[in-house]
Amino acid sequence: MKSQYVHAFPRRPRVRRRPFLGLFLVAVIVGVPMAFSVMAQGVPADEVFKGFEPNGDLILELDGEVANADLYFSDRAGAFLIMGSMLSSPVLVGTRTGSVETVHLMKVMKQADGSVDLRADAALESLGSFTIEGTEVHFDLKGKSAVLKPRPDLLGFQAKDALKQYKPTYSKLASEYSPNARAMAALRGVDEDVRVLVYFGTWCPTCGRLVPRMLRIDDDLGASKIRFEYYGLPRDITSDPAAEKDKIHGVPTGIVYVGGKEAARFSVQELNEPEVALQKLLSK
Amino acid sequence: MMSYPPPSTTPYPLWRRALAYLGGAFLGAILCLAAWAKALDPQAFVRQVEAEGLDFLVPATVVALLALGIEVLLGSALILGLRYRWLLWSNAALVAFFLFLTGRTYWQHTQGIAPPAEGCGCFGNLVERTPAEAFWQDAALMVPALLLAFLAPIPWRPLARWRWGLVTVLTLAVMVLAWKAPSLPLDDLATRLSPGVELLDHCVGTAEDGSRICLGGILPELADGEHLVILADLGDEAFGESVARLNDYHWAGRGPKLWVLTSASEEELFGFRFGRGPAFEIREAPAALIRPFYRRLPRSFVARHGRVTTTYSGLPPLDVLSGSGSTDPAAETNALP
Repeated sequence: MKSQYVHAFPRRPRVRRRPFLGLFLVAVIVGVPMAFSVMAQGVPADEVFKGFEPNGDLILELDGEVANADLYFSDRAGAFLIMGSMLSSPVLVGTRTGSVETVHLMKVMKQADGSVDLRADAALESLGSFTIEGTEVHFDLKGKSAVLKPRPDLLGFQAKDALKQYKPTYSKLASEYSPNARAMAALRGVDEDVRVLVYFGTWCPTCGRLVPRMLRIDDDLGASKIRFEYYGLPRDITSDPAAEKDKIHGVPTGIVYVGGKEAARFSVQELNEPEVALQKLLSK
Repeated sequence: MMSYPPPSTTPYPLWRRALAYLGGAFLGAILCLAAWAKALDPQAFVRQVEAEGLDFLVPATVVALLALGIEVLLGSALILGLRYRWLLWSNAALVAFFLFLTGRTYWQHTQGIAPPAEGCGCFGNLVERTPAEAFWQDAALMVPALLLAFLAPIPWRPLARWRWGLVTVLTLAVMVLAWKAPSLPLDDLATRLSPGVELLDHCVGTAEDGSRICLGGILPELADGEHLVILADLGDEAFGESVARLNDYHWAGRGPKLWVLTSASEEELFGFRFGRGPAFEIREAPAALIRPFYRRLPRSFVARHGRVTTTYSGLPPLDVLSGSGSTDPAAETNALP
């Protein structure tokens, strides 16, 4: 017998229980992105658009304002990759094609070493081409005027860390340089005060190659009696009072002071192996 | 019929005439050697004329050609013993003019007006001298010789006609050489880059003021292994169009490692990097350092352990160097045996 109480209320429509529906939804919500992720991880890097290394030589200006963007360059691709929060998607500036293109952010893979690759299935969307005006690259970025230009020079005395931060390549090249072990051992034992004043220009490609070597030696010598100082010069070297006072004709130039007196000047040839040149000088 | 006065007997003793001849001949030899060096690379001399501002009346090419002619004429006349007073005074004026030019460069150098590696004298590319060396060497070599030549000037003699004929032929020959030289295969002869040359100690500037720059400092990698170096003008359209082939060579990784040496300006370098996309390494070098290595660009060479083994006028035969092709018959090659 059925209870009248029960029948006093309208009968609820019968709901068929589907225990697997919830699991299915969960699987869809969680699984699809995972599957895409797994699939994406399976996509290899593009054969050409890979090996983008951080590049500190240039900055990006958008409508006249410096944009907070990360720039990378790949020798293989011959292209700059620009990424930043103000860009709806990463931008590729191809030096061999003269083209400006965008690529979907999901097609960019950051590697553990700080470099960046594009996935092989990355599709590039053309934004047109760029023009070169002096030392600036101009292009249109979806209605905004974009300019790639050299980073402003570091001038005057600079701390070692400021140099490394200025150009990622300085840190990279410094870590790649292998100083002469024998010379370094001898330099650690120097008991006189030695000061090496390095005149350089952040605009100077040869400095870009050689200053990191001094940074490395500076790091490795640690708390020795040898002290390095770095002084950035403008392109018009002689316009700088310090350079004029020290009669600097070119960069990089290292002036070595031993016991407060100038003992030698190092030019390009000595600065290829600064620790060896320094050790030879101090052992005289 | 025109009559000439009889040849007068010279009033000077033999030793004096001998010294005068030796002095004159020495000065003449210097002038002729300098003219020869400039005739082999006339384009460089034209640029020097422009740089010195000597083309204010006529084009630099004309000035250069005339200057070469005068230099050979006066020099060869002295070698042939023609020490007429007007010739000696012309030589004196020429020497004074050279000393003025080198002295002006020297002064500019001391005042910091001119770059230290510029204006290194009148000997073309065959001799490397600083402005100070150029001035003092010119003065030390030419002035005493000129003074010696003045010890025994000779009176005008019509018998010297055959000598004048020789002087004229020599002068015209050097001027024709200068005119034709750019198209002649004289790179190894006219420049300091030829098979067998040691490269690393090739320097400009002075050690005393820290301005000395050596190729071994710019491209120290040359000291070890085999390298292919192209001296290039990055603003040259034809070189720009060859970048794709050079990139392919670089990526292939066969053959000597490729480098490009240039004295391009910052703007040229920037434009080249963005406009052409080179994958190979470009090193900048002072113009004065690499200028003695070429008459026109591009010029290339292969060096092994710092020593030049082969030179090429123009771009190198990349297929041959990478071992994947046949010799380019158009490439002018000079190699060590």
